[in-house]
Amino acid sequence: MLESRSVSKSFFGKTVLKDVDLILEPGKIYALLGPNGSGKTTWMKLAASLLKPTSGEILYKEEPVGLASRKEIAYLPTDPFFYSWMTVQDVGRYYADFFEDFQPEAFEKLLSKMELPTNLKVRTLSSGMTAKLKIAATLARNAKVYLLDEPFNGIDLLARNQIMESIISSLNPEVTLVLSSHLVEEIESVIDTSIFMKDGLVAEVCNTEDLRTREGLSLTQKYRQIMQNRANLG
Amino acid sequence: MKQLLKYEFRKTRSVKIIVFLVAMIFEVLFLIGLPFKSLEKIGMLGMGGLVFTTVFGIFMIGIIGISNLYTDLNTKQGYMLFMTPRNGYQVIGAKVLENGLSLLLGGIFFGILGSIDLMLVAVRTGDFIKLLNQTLHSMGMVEISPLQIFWSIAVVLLFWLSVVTMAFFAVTLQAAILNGKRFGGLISIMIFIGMNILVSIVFSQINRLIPMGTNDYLNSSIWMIESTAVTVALYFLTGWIVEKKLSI
Amino acid sequence: MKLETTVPIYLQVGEEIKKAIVTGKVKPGEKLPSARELALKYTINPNTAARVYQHLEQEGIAMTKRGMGTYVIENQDLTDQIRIGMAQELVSHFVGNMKELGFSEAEIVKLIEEER
Repeated sequence: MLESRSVSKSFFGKTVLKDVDLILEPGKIYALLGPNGSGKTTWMKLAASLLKPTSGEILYKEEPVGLASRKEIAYLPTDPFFYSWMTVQDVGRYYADFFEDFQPEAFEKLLSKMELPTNLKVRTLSSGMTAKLKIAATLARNAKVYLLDEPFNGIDLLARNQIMESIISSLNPEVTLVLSSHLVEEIESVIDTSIFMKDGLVAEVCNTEDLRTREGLSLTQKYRQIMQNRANLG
Repeated sequence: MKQLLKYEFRKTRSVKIIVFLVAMIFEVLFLIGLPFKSLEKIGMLGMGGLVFTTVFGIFMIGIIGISNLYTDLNTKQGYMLFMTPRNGYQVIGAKVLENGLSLLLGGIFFGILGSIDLMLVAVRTGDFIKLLNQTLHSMGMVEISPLQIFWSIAVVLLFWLSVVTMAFFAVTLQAAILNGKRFGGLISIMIFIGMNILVSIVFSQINRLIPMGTNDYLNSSIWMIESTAVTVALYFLTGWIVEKKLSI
Repeated sequence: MKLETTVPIYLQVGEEIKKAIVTGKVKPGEKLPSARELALKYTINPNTAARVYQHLEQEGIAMTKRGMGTYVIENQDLTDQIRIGMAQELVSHFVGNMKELGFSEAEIVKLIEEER
């Protein structure tokens, strides 16, 4: 279980996250939804223990995130980050070297599904291929928590389907999945709970099926409602 | 740690290969010029080139390590390193160790090469070395011998390693303070110079305590101990900064 | 199947399965795909897929045997029952819409006969 307790983060006096309280339960797929700059990436980095909160804490299994949690929490950054001298295969070896939960067979399977040859050098990959490589490596880990920051960015339609399938397959009662996206339509159908973020604050949390049942709203409509509402107030 | 080390070596591979190849080219030139008096100029070129490559090579090994650290701390590439379940001490430790081992191997390589070449020259010219040693002896310096070569290289390497570690510290401190803002390079250099001055002052005070006319070997031993102390101290400091203060 | 995102997904997938039963694609007593397979087939959340089956169970259409999967109820009349139930829903929906447009019941019947 991943818990965010009154987490705030500031950079040089600028507040990026304010008092974020969240409880993320295993067996569910969460969405972090919000415009650019709403704090989604920052929160994920905090949960991945790449950043330290200015105040508050993020707990994984009741312990503050850190070295130990990195073994069970898989983070997918938005930007490309692989060493340019590596080949696709090297990336797999790197992950295998450092992550005990990495499964090379799953990695290879994903690569072939997305038609990414293993001998290509990272520096020659197009942005789409880099995006595919990133997600393949991350999902090939048998992690307990997946933090996927804009996993569909730069991915073509067909590959998107394959990735969706992999995401759906990754879910089991012990796994927590968190996706962030600003393209809500893409992920609507697989989201259990949506966390709407605006200006570093949690605007609202809602169960997507309840949203449809009680208010007859799609996630996209709700998103617009919340984001425009805030704009009016601000 | 072993994995970290493996990748640190991989990251610095290309520079080393280039240095090795260049050294080999000069070595060939030196060997060509050896037997024939008419090709002596080529031999000298080779010899000069080898000295240059040694210095430059050692320098570049340090620089590439520092450059890699800068990239790891200030660009997205850092995710590779910092998303792994390894703490700051392990990460920096692998870098310092890689640098130290590379310098050691480089030192051994050039030391052996230099020793062999020296012996070849001795065989070729016979008296030349004797004459050289007599001159050096009269100037109060130690004679040239393989031991001498290796010892000097060791002193230089330990010193250079401490310099590199100091640069690691400067770059890391800069990253922790600036967090990716501009002027990272400039700030790093300023911190580096500052640290250098500080360490120099501390050691000059210590060195004043050494009596004049002390054996060269003893002098350089003290120098080596000081370098090692600096390396170890700055390693721990750098590791601490990464562990406690760093944001990627 | 294109999912409508303003209507509960579990209901929509449920309707799809009912249709499959009615048209004979799925027979009474037959095993339905696992929740995971259902999720992959429709690209929906596995929890939603599970809810589909809970819903079908509540409606008396399916039955989940622990550890073995979900089965369509072994009942030959079931197909007809579902068919009639779905038809009734469609008719009431249709009639309601038509009445909203101002048609009387006689006019509605006439229009249907003309349609044939």
